[in-house]
Amino acid sequence: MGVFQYSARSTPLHRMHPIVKLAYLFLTLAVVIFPYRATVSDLAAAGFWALASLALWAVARVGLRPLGVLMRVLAWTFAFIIVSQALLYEGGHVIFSLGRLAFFGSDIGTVTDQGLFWGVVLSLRILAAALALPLFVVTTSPAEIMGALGQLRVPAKVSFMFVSALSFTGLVFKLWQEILDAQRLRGFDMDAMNAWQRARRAYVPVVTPLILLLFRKGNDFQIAMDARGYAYPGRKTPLVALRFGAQEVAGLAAALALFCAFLALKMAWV
Amino acid sequence: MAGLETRKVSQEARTAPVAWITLFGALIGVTALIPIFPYVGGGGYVPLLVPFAAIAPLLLGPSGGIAAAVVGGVIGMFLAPAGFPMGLLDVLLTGVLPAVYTASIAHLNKNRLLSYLLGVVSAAFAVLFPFYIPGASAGFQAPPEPLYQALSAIYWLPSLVVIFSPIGTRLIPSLVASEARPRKYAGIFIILLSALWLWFNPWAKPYWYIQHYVPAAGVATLIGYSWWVPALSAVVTAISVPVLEALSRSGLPKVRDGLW
Repeated sequence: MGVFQYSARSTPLHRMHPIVKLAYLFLTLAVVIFPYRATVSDLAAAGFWALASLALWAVARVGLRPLGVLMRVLAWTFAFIIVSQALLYEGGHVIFSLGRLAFFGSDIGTVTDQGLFWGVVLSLRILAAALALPLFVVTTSPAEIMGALGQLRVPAKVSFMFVSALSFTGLVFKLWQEILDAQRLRGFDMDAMNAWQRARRAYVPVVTPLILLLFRKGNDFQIAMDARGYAYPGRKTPLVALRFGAQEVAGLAAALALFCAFLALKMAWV
Repeated sequence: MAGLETRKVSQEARTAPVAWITLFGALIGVTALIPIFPYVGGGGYVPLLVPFAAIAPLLLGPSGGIAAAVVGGVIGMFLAPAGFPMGLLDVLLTGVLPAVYTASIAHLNKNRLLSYLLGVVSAAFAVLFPFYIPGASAGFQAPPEPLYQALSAIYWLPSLVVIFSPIGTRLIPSLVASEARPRKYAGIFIILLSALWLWFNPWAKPYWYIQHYVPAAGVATLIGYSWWVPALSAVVTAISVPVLEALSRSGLPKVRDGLW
């Protein structure tokens, strides 16, 4: 399950200062929250940002497996968006009709070309975000994230919590699987249950021991932290010294140039 | 002994330790990978993260629970971007707000003004946004009335009744503190149901705005979630009460304002 975890490589993206990668994430946020319409320029703009992120995946050389996992999850989301928008969107030429199905003022029995197009635009917007977000964690080591957050004046306690939690996701998966195996040995097979059975009685025998185990491990972890001087009030020193040099300036300029190109497409200047 | 400091160690309840917040944050983040319901209007899924973020303040106290939800939300965004189609904005809406609303209702007597403010803002979102404000000026058509307001009221009116009446200030604390199981279940259920109904409004409506929902999609969404929010609250109550009971018997150090 650890497909979106740090994978050590020596690529320009791995070597890039994490602040540049964070800047790219914030630009992606701007790309996503821009208001969109069912226009060719919006389709091109969202597609452009998705392609840019895809190119960065290639540069990062993290393999196709994480991308495959992401696309499998996204596939049904996109199918759902396109079908629902095709049926709910008002306007455009009718492609086919199932008959008049009035639903509070809308005809949801008619599929229009504009509805389908709008579904594709929305899907591309989600793809643009989904491709950009994991790039940060797969190309940045926990020590580099700590160092970068320190340089951004994020309190050490906060950055420690984020980085540790990211590292602990593997532990959570392991404990979850161990509890499932233990319950299966007792004849309690969660995988064999349907959604209703799971909602009704599957989670309590798994979640309760999981949370108790996590808190017990948390106690040990807290003692280990205190024994290593975590509570010491002085200034924390970073494990990795990060430098913001010419490569980072170029990276930041490239990210801004991509964003300007996105804006140009979005505003139909091109 | 000059230069040495001593600290008195107390067995009284303390705020949640950083390690617990971190580990529970990791758990919340991991649960972002598990879908529990599709967005009714399309565009993503509600992850299992939502109920885990909602119970965090019950286990870790308000500040610890909200901190764990923030950590879990950010981690979840990186682990499961499909559950966060609006990126960082979804960290706030999907990851953090369930914890904020649960904390505000579970600890109503500690900070009433904040709880009232959250409730009123949520109600305003339900009534006005986006079909009336910004409304036609942003290209939104008027929804069918009074149906739309009647459906919207489900998501704010009962919760405001809880917040502004002795149900929230007296009944919930007494139910939650009770040793009798049915009363405890009832208390936790009221907290979670009121919180998740209020949470729905600021969670869903920005999405309606960004996706430019037509009134029919809005009505369909309100109908679609009207049964789902109570069902989710019931399932989460069924999970959280045994966890709270197990924690109170575990011998683990108590957390200040945790409900165990």
